Amino acid sequence: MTVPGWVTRLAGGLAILGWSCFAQAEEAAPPIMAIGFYAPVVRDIPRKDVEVTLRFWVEELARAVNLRYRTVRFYDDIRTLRQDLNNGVINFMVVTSMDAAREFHPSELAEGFAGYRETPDHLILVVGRESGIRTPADLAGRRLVMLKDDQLSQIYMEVLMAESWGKVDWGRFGAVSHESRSSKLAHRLFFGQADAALMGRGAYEAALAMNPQIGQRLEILEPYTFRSRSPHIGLFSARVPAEIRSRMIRAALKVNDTTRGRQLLQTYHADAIVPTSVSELEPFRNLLQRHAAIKATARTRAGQER
Amino acid sequence: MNPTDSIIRLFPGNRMFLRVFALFGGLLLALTIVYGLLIIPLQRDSLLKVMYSQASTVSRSIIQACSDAMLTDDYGFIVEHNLQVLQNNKSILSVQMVPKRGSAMRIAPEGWVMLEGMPEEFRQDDFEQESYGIVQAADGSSHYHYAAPILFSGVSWGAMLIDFDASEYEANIDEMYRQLLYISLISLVVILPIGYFFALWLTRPIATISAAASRVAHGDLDVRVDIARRDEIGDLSHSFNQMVTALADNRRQLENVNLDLEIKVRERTQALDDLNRTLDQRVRDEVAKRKEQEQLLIHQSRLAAMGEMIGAIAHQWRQPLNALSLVLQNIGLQHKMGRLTDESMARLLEKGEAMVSRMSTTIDDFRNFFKPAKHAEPFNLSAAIQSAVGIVDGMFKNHSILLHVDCPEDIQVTGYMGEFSQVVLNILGNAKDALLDSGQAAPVIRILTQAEGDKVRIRFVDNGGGIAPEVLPKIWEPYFTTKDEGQGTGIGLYMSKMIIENNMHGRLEVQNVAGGAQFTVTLARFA
Repeated sequence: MTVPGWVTRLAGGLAILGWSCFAQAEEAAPPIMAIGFYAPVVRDIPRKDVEVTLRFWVEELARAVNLRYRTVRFYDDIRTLRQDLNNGVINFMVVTSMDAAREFHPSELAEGFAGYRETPDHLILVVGRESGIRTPADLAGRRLVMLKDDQLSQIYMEVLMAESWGKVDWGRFGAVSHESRSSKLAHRLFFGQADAALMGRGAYEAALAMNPQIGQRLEILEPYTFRSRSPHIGLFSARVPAEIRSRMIRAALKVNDTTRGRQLLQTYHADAIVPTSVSELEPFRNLLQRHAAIKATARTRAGQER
Repeated sequence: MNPTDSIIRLFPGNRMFLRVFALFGGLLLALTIVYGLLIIPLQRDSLLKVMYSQASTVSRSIIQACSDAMLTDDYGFIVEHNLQVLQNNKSILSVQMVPKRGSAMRIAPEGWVMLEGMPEEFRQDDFEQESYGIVQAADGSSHYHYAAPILFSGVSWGAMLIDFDASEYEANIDEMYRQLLYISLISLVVILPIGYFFALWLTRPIATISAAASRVAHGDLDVRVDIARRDEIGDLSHSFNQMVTALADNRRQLENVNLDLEIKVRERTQALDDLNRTLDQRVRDEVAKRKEQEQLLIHQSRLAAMGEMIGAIAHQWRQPLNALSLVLQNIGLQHKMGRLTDESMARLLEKGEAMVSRMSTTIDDFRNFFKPAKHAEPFNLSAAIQSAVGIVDGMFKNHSILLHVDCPEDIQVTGYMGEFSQVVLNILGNAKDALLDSGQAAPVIRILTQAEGDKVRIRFVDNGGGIAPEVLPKIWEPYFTTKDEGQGTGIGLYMSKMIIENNMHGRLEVQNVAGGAQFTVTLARFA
């Protein structure tokens, strides 16, 4: 059936008119704040608490800067989060720094904000004072405990193994165990259930604050600290206009002005919400590069051996 | 009116109002407080039970969650779990795990620590049995301390001590006391006006009636109370008004009676005045009349006695007269016969003079008998009796009346001897008449005198059959006689009683005894 020309022209006209109206409406509507939250960021805090406090705070924040908002989404899988960020389902993410460095190109991300402690939350290697461990090389045959499903710990330990033992060999440990909560790592070490622990400085200091006896029994092997500003970070999608990012960051920095905001900080054991930048991911990228090099060397060595 | 006066006027000054007000208010307030004080311990127990239940639940929960960790000595887990518990339960101040083997640990929200020894609160019994209660912490705060043994299959692992914040409990107790105070204050505020009006409602009508009664007591019978209530008070008010009306009526009647009485009193007073004015004269007249009557009586009595005397003298003289006549006949006969000698003449003259002398003595006796004594004086009772007996002795012998006198001679009495002898004579005369009337074959009169202490009793007993009972009450009346007309005057016994009782201050009594009458004269003995 042949469509008459005038019908085609009318349809085209209506389509142009509709697009035009839609475009104008979209342009006139306030921007949307859509936050995605990667669950492993908060291991020691009940997920429900995080959801509730974050949701209410976001509502409050959005109203303060006259933004529309979507309900905060929680992700257990970083790839799904990435997909949603790319698709515009979310335009701001809170993720572990290592995953951000590994999964995103710097150009995809833009500055943001995150709740940090006053002191950097480095990844540290803690051992018993009486264990005789002074370097990672001494970990051979010893019991190691570390965070479960934590890419940073995994990769950093492999780097330390490669640099100390010349190769990545998990089998050289007496035992390697994992804990889902970082606070447990210090306790296991304290009660002699492990000889070394790879853990965040924040968690260690929190454990120390809870029991000063921990400091008497354990010590940090400072030279083997992985230094970064924080193991997690909050960044916008680069597609969010700078003006909007700026408005939202300014509003977020006033977290202490609202009850919800203070409640949020308390829940996250954070001292303040501070601006973040993509450059904070640099140490993680470097670590990833070192780790990749170690892997490559190992593959080469394995190929030569074959 | 200043405010103080206004307040004072609010509270009526009667004691009943204050009592009712105080009783009502005090009772309600006391009830409120007592109720509150009874409730508070119950509430306290309930709170303690709730705390115990909470402590027990927490304890069981921890033991259950940490059982594996305890058995495997995974203290890290125990610490972690308890920190989690503490985080989720803000009322728990601390959890202390005390294993039998190993170090105890104290876990609190602000931190945890391995203890070098046993916790301060720990007691050896805590391994064996549960204990709990409110304890005072060193800082002065109150804790609910709960201790429970940790057992696995009957084997003791250790003990758990949990301290709960009891500030809420203390706050609840404080709140209860505060509420009790508020309720008491509110009750007081409510009770005061209610009690005031209740007491006023109850006591005002009573006070009104009381005030009215007081006015009535002071003589105001125009007062009435106007209390329109349909209860006992209303009835009382109505009755009070009726009573006052009746009193007013009675008073009016009384006033009328008084008026009549006053008139009568005035009349009587007038009459008395009149009487008083003539009384002295009338008394004098009466006394004079009385004396005249008495004199007349005495005179009549004496005349009667004199008649008796004359009879007696006649008896006394008859025998000497006969003898004197015989003497004269002898003189005449002896003269005719020429045998009258000087000697016989002298003898006959002596005999005749003796007889005349005897007759003269009799006359003296009679004269002495009727000579009245002017003053009371001691006299010998026996002599007085013998004097009277001597007068009638001849007459009695003539009538064959045996007169027996038993009277000690040493008894003295004070009085008028002549009048006493007249009394004896009267009694003996009456006895003689009674004996003669009775026809007694062996008439006897006994005069028995007996001294008893300072008294002397003289009994005159005859066997003349006694005095008729109907006559006895009248026997002392003047002019009363049972004798035939012309035989007696009815004055003798009356005069005898007057003499004994009025003049000599003794007693004269009569009574019937076996077979006759007995007159008893009692006189004071002269020492």
